[in-house]
Amino acid sequence: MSTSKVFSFTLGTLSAIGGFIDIGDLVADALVGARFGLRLAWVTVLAVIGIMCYAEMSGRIVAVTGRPAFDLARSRLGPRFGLVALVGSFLVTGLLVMAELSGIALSFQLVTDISYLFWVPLAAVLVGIALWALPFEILERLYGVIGLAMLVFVVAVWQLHPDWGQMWHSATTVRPTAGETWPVYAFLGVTLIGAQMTPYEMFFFSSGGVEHRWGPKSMSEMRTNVLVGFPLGGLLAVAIQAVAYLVFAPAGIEVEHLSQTALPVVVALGKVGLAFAVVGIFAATFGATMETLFATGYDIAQYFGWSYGKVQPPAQAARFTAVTASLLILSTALALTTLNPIRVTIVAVVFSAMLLPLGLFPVLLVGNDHSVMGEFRNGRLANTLGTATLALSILVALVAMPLLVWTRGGSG
Amino acid sequence: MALLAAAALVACACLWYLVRPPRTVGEYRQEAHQTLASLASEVATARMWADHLDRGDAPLTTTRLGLAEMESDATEAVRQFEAYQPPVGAASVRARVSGLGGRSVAALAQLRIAARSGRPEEVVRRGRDLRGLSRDLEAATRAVAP
Repeated sequence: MSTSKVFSFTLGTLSAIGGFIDIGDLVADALVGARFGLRLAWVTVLAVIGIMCYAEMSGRIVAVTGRPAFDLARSRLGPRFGLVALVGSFLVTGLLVMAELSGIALSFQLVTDISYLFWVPLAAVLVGIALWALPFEILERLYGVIGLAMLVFVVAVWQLHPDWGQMWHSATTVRPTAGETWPVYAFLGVTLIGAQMTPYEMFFFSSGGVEHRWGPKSMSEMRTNVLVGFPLGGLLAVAIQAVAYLVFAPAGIEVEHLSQTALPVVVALGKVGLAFAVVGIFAATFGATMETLFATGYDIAQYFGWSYGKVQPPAQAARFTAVTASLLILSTALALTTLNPIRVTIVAVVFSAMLLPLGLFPVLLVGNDHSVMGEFRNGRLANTLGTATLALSILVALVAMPLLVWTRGGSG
Repeated sequence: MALLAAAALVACACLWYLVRPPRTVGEYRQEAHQTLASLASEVATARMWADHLDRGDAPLTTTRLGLAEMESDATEAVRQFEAYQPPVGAASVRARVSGLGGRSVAALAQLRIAARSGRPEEVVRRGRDLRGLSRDLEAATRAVAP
């Protein structure tokens, strides 16, 4: 396979590593693994199937129409629906940008022991330079490839010599562990759905397809991106849950910090493992910062009909560039208020779960529209999986807030 | 308008539920249980960092950070618990949690000081000394469970 062929799959890898494994996931997966072992791994499997289904649908819409799904959906559902979805998405994704930016700073803190607040402005400058100066393809290739360092969590599972029978038993047991309650189990399940099926992953993936100028001939490239990227994200998420289960559960340790997410890798692989983990965490949070920034920029620019895109020089998409730059500055200021980024992320992913149906419904609608999609409209499999995922997302949206309050944010 | 007022009322009730202090002995014991479980977790994490520093797996810089975070969390957990007014009949629970909380915070502070002063041997030694504290915290966590 040629190098350019290999690199054409990096959009999916970046979407997976930056979208699936962001700061929310890094902490939520370790927290879930320490408290429930692999008993919530099935949620990750459902999230992977759901996000693959909708990413494929939105990628197919781009390949057929050359326009992102949400752009088309707005013209079908009217500006009022579009505005509600836009405001909701803007608020949640804005919070996530702040959290991801703090995540980059936390990765620097891991190796320097200098407060992450010191690193936040530097991280913002790095992101700003990357957004301004680096072409889209270089960005996605760079962070897609560096992000593969996260595979150290998979290696760590092997290195910890687990009892595979016990792991399988944990993964196939759908109930809380002793001492934990069903509401907390359900709340953390909702948190995982919110962290792993974020609407911005689809915004980014489909708008990234526009940047790549996908056409009907790009179907196989797009599908390979979906088939490689998101399962890779799911594998990494389950690996983080597994190492936390193996190292923390026997010691009764609760996870609240990024340093604790990296600790099982230290236990398994020592300093070399830690170095890989830090590089992977940096790439994942950097990728997620870019994805959330781009997704918000795409979202707003598409709603108002502005020109947008990273493939154009910033001056030719001035309003798109201004939106992303303003959000970056705003998020930097928010991060410097010393708001706990981990807690902000947990709340943001719960709200993200509540907004999920607003992101999924328009994609399913357009993907099924024969007048738009012609022969490429949804088949039976896409419709079945899409409808099941939408139903699940509505259920999750309805129970997310009551569970957040009832369990006091999962504390019991 | 009525719908908006009802939504605001529900939001206020939710916020109150999220931050309300424990009022009954049962709720207070639940808070005590969670505080002790949290302290046990922080001490166990600190022991793990110290142990892997000893084995040469963990760099001192990251160990320093891990230890400082555990001390900060323990301090916050104890401060929050001690701020609750104990209901009648729960004074002994408060005394037990406060005593163990004070020991935990002091021990974690000593570890952090040793790490930040560049004395890894002392970190390792003090990390081993935390075994007794871990046992006491686990026993107390079981004892105060509601």
